[in-house]
Amino acid sequence: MMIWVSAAVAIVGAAWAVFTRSTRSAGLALWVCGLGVGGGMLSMGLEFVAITQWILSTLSVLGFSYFAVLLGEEPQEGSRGIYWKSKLAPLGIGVMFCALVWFAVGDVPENPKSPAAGISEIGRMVVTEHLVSLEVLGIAFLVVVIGAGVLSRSEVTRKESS
Amino acid sequence: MMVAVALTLMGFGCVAVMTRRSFLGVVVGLQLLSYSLAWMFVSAGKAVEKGHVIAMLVLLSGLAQLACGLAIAARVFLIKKTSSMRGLEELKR
Repeated sequence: MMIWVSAAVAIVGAAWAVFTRSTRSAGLALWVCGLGVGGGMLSMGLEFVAITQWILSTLSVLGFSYFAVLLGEEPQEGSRGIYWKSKLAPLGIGVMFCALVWFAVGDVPENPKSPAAGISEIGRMVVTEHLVSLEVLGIAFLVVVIGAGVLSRSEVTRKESS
Repeated sequence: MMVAVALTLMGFGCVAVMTRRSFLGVVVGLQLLSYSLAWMFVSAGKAVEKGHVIAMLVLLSGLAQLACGLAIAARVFLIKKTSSMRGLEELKR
């Protein structure tokens, strides 16, 4: 049952992310979608992957909010509707997320059929059978960190604009 | 049915990538594609035990893709003073 609720939350969040105009709303919708996807994973008995999904979704929405303001989408001050929306929307989503986790935990199977569902088994498989994938992912992260630093340098920006 | 949910998320991601004009909107679409892939692999993990591990790797690679996308968006904005996709046309020289 909970897996269908999670799937519905994920699909509604995805639709909201696609059709909203505001970038910050799209980020919030992406967070809702990620929460739903994580709830579905939790319902399938994958606690570790679900928690990873929730952490990544939260990091994503933080990045989107920061960059949306950085790239020029400023909140309109003095608007009462936006004030209440900014306070009540995250609160309501947080309460719904807690309720989703509360009910989804009850549906988690204690002995998942898949042997790769446990944390230790996932770790063992990553460092044994998928070691090359882990190395490639690590190199990709290194390149992304260095590349993001290079792209954001003010010297490069000034040189390009002149 | 779980595959249908993943395909729905993938469809929304494709629509966002193709229709969004701002670069951050495209990054949102790419994140939706990443989520749909993770859901697909987790659903397949019921039968194929490696699916869970691959879903984990897909999620982490999605984070790298997000960081890269946000860095490019910041660069385009700093150079062109816009977050539109049109700023990308002159990024490659």
